[in-house]
Amino acid sequence: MTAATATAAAPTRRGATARLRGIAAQGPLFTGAVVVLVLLTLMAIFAPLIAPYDPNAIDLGNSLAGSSADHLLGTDQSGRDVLSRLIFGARTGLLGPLLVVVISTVIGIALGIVAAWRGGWVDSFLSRTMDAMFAFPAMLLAILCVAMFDAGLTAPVIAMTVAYSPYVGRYVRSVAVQEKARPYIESYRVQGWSGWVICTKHLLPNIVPSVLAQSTINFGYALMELAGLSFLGFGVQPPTADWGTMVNEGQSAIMKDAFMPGLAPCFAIIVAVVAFGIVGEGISDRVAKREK
Amino acid sequence: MKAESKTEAAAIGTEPAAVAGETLEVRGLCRSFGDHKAVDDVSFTLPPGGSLGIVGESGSGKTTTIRMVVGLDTPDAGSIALGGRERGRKPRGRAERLARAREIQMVFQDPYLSLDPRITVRDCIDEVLRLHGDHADKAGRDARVEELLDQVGLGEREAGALPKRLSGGQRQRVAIARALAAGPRVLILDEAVAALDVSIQAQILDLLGRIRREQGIGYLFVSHDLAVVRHITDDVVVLRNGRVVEEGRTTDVLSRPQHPYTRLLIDSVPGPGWDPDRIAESRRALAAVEGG
Amino acid sequence: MALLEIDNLSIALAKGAARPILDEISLTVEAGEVVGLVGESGSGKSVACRTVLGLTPEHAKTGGEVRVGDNDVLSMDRAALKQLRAKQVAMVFQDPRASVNPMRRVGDFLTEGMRAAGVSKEKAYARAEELLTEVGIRDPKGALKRFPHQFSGGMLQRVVIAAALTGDPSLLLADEPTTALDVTTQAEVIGILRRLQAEHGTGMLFVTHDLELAAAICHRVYVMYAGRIVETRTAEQLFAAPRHPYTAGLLASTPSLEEDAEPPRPIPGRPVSLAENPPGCAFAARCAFAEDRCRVETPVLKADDGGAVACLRADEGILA
Repeated sequence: MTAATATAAAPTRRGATARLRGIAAQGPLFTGAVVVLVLLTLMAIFAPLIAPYDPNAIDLGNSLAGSSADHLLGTDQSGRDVLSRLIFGARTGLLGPLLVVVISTVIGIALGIVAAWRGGWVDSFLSRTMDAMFAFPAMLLAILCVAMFDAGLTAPVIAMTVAYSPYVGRYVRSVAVQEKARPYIESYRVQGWSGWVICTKHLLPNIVPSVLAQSTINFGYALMELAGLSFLGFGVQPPTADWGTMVNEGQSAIMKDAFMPGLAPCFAIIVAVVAFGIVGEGISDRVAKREK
Repeated sequence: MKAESKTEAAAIGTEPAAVAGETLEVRGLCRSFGDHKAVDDVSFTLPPGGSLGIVGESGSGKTTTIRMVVGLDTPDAGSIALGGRERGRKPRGRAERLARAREIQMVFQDPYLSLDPRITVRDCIDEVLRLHGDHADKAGRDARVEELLDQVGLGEREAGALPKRLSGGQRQRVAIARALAAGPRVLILDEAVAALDVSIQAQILDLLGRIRREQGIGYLFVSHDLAVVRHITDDVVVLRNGRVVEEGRTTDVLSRPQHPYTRLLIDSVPGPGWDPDRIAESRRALAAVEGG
Repeated sequence: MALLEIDNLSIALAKGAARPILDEISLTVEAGEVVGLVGESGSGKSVACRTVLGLTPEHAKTGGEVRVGDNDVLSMDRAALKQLRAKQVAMVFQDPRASVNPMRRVGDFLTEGMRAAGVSKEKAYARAEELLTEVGIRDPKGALKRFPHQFSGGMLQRVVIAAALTGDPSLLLADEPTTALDVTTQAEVIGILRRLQAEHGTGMLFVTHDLELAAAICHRVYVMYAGRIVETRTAEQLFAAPRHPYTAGLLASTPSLEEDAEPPRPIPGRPVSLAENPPGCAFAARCAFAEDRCRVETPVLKADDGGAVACLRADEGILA
């Protein structure tokens, strides 16, 4: 067991500085995207410290004020500070997709690896099941979930997790099938290891980087779709600050020539989605380079 | 010499007395994929400590045959027995799986794909000792790892390295040491020198010859390269389209081939004085036999 | 005038390598001649071969000249390179599957070059059919309509050879053209290559790691080690009396089918990687005859009767 922990510890020890250098070597775009994601995360965590105002403090006398020194991004129809709501919105904006991605990745990895490793009827059964789940429109599922549970973060997260798991599962299966055929995995079988040990100690760690790349890109998509649900009113409910609901509320402001309340959250969503996309692509590039 | 084999027995927990005198018998092996008969009634015998070449081109069934012998695939019919113990069907339980692994080990063709990229050379061999050894103490295993690496001509520097730091020849040495770590009676070498540079190939052949002389391990040497087979095997079977077309002592078969296909194979090997007309003639002779 | 003349060609990667990939190599191929370029992995043989088509590694510094006919390939612009590849020089790669577009029919693949050069469709197809017959493909008409995956590796390599001949090149580059093939298939393909080369009077540069194969088909052979040419002479001479210890070592380490042949004798150590740049002779560390001066002084290629060798001790009769 000591040997195993030593190998596990080695990469992390080498980690910190080498990893930073690795990120910088990937190019300015990738570095920029990583910085954006780190800032977004910090913003979400420290929202109460950073936000200049209470995001829910209503000041009807100061509704739809343009940007000023007091309110950098102005105020919305209820006179709430747009910047503060944007900062707090990052919390639900990132938490939802995080839950979706983590849970769907875990489920997807389990399904994908079992299908790839067992092959035969197990593979057929799991693959067809995943296909069937895949065919069901995610939005419809989400609306159904909202009807079953309640509006809020839970229902859309469950729906999105159900929608994303087969997606991850199919991807993991295809990578794992390739990996399973590699001689190093076969040599572990020849040595007499159980399938469980081979999968968890050797196969999984070697496919995790490519799965992680895929999941990072998924993070962006999940963020967008959850914001979409909020926008339609199926997600996070007002008055909680959330980018999707903010866009919804901002619509009517645009009619009154106040663009900030609607455009600022739009911009935040775009920046986050693009950043996740770039980082995901970057990671998969690095995996591909390593494979060579 | 004596001391070495004693430590080996202690570390591995196999009875050296039994190592001598066990014959690998393969009888009537068949395996189909769909309509295609990949292996069709293949039989051969590997005497204890012998070296048997399995020669054939792509599609000859040689890879499928040895995959069944080592247990990576299951035959449709026929028997594979080492020392009378049948191993043609799937193993029942962990004990049988491990016992079989201790009997037959394998070295794969591609040194770049046959080692887990995340595991250092030392750990890769230590794993095998932990799985198969009676002795769980670290010191005993460390000594054995060093001994095995020394046997294949690798030192302390390579022991701590990840596979990506090693050349193709060094990786193949690691693969051989890893196979020996389980203390097998039979070693299957699947085109084990085909991917190496000529000067390195000779080093590995040299090493394999020495290991056989010193330890009396039997070799199943799978290759398309007749010149290599001539120097490393005692007996040979020639496979074509899943069937054995010729078998016998290697020197006899190569100097006095009986089957036109064997003759064609021999004529095709390039060298000074290589004659395309003679090859064409051999090909016609083969066509005449197979057509009728 | 030689058909191909490589003159002091050097190629060095901008970063990440301690030694140049190619270090002042010179070689010639005459019209109608088959010249072998033999070496192990990392010797630079493939890079040298690709340079003749103007394909140099990215961000590499090149020096010297590669002349095809009268023109230096290294200083050609895109139009001239295109012309060179279409008319004068053709290449056959190692893996036929990787060098043919799997989504297009063999007929399209064979005729696209001719069609781009303005040949009519009928003429191009007629020529393609003729070439397929030449490389020994039965039912060439049917073959033109099929897709690459419907051919075996050996048959597909014949198609690739036919494609290389469509422009009637004066120089054919073959980079390990049979390494991915079975032994009997290799023999067929080599037979075809040699026959076509003789019939068309094409010059050929044949890159391989297999000395025996080079001996079987080449008139002259260059042996490369760590980016340099260490020995060159006719195939017969090279086999009968190699003068560089590396050539002799390669020959001794190649297993032979001959009845009373010695077992292969390995060369100790391993080839020099791009990350290493030992002073003196690159082979010194593996050489049984190396002296102190071999590790200091870099040997140059010196002409002797019938060839040339780059070894400080070649004249001392060390291999006799």
